[in-house]
Amino acid sequence: MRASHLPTFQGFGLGLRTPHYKDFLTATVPVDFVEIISENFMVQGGRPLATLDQIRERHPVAMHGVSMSIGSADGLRLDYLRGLKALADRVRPLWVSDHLCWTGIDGLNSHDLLPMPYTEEALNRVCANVLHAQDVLERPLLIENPSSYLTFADDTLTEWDFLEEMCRRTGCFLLLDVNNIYVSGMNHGFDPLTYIASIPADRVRQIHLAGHTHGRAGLLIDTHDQPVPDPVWALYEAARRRLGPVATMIERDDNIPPLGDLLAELDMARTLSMEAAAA
Amino acid sequence: MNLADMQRDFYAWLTDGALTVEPQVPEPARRGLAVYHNALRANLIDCLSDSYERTHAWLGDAAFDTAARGHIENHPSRSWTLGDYGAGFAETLAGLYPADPEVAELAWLDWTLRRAFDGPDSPELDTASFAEIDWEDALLRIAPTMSVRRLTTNAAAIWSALASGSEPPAPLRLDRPAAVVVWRQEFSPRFLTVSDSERHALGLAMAGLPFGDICSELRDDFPDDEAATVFVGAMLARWLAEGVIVGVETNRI
Repeated sequence: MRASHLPTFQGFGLGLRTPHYKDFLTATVPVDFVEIISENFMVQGGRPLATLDQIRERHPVAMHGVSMSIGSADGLRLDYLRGLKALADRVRPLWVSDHLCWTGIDGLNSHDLLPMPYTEEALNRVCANVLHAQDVLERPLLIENPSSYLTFADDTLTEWDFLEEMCRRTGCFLLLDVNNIYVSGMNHGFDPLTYIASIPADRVRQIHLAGHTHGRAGLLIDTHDQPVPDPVWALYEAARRRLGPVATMIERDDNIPPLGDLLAELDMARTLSMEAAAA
Repeated sequence: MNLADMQRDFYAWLTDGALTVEPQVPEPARRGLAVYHNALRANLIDCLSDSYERTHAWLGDAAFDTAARGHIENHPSRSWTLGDYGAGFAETLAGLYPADPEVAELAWLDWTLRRAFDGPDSPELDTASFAEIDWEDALLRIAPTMSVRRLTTNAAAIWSALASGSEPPAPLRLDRPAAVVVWRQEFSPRFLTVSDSERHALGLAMAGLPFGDICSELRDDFPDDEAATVFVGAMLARWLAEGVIVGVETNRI
C-alpha cells in the first residue's frame, strides 16, 4: 500500500517507561502524548497490556518499534507484522514507527539496529518492505533515521536522499531523531545542518530528542542514557525552524531519572519550539 | 556484493565469538564494527540477566556472565522478540552444573514465572452460577499460564529467599522430588509446592477429565472416602480462591 495521508499531531510527549507507570496511572502528567515501545506490549496478557489500556484512556499513544527490520534483504516476518497490527488495532495509535535498519536475516535476529548501505538495491528492498508493512498494518509507517557507527564503501546515496526517495516511492512518513543526526554526523563527518536542510519537511510527523555518550574508540554512541545535550538542543531549534510545529518527545531508555527531570527537558523543548516559531 | 550476501556475512561476523576484521577494512569501519559486535552480546546478556534474575543472583556476576556468553555463542536468536531469547537457558545451565541441580531448577522457576507474567489472560470466573453446577460432570478450566514439574532440590526455597532479600538456604537434594506449580493469579505470577495427589489432580484436570473422574482417581491416595473428600474439597476451594481454576464447564442441573 502506498500511503497517502496521515493527520498531523502537534504536541510534546515522553517515552513511556516502566519506572514511570505509577506516575502516569496516579497523577495528571502534563504531556500531550506518550510513545510506547511496541514490542513491550506485543504479549498475550497480564499487567503490561492492562497498564497500557489504562494509560491509553488518559493519553494519545504513538507506537514505536525496534523489530520490524525494514531493511532485511529477505523481507519482513509476517508473524511480527500481524502481532503489531493486533496491538495497533487495540491501541488506536497516532502512528506506528520503526527504524531504517535491519536486525537480522534468514530467521536469525541480532536484536540490534544494524546499518544499511545506501544503494539503489537497498532502496528498492526497503521500499518493497515498507509497502508490505503498510499493506498488513493498513496504515502508513513512520521511519526513523538511525544512528550508525560505520558507512559502506559502495554507498551511492546520502542518508537524507535515501529517506526522501523512500518517502516518495512508498508514501511513508518520517520520525526525525535529532540526536541520531548529530551522532551519525559526528561519526561520519557530515554536517547535521545539511541533513536538516535536506530532508523532506512535509513528511516529518515526529521528532525524537535524546542523549548520547562518547565511546572509547572516539565514536559517539546513541545510548539514550543522558539528558539531551546542548548541540542536540541547537539542532532541534534548527529542525523546528525548518519543519514548523511537529510532535516532539524526549526518548530516555537507560539511567532513567525521576519523571520530573524528563518533564523539565520537555519544557525546554516547548520553550525552544516557541522561540523558533517566533523567530 | 549484493544486500543479502552483505547481511549474511555481517550477521555471521557479528555472531562469531572472535572480533576479527579483515585487514583491508579501513580504520573507521573497524571501530564501528566493534560497536556492533559488542552490542549484540551486551543486549543478549542483559536479556538473560533480566529473565533469570534469581539465577543470576545465585550464581554471581562472573559465573552468570560466563554461562550467558557460552549460551549466546551456541544459541542464535530466532525470534523477533528478545522476550523469547531465554528459552533453553535452563538446559544450558543443567549441562554446565550437573553436580548442582538447583541451578537449572532455579532457572526453570525464573523462566516459567517470567512467561506467566505476560501469558494469556483468563475471563473472570463466574462464581454466581456455582450452586447450579453438577460437579460430577464439571470440566475445570485451569489457568492458561499453569506449568507443573517436579523439583529434586530446594530451589523453590532458594528462589523465595533471594526474592525477599534474605539469606538463601544451602542447596540440598530433597528426599523425594516435590511437585511445584507455577501460574498467574490476576497480575501476579505465583508458585507453590504441592502434594503428589494435588499434582496428579491438576494433571487430570488439565487433560480434560470431569471433576467426578478426578475424585475417583484420587480415591486410592487416601485411607478412606472421608479423607479423600476432605482433601478434594479443600483443594477445590483453594484452586478457586487462588485463580488456578478460571472456568467451569458443565451441564446445568
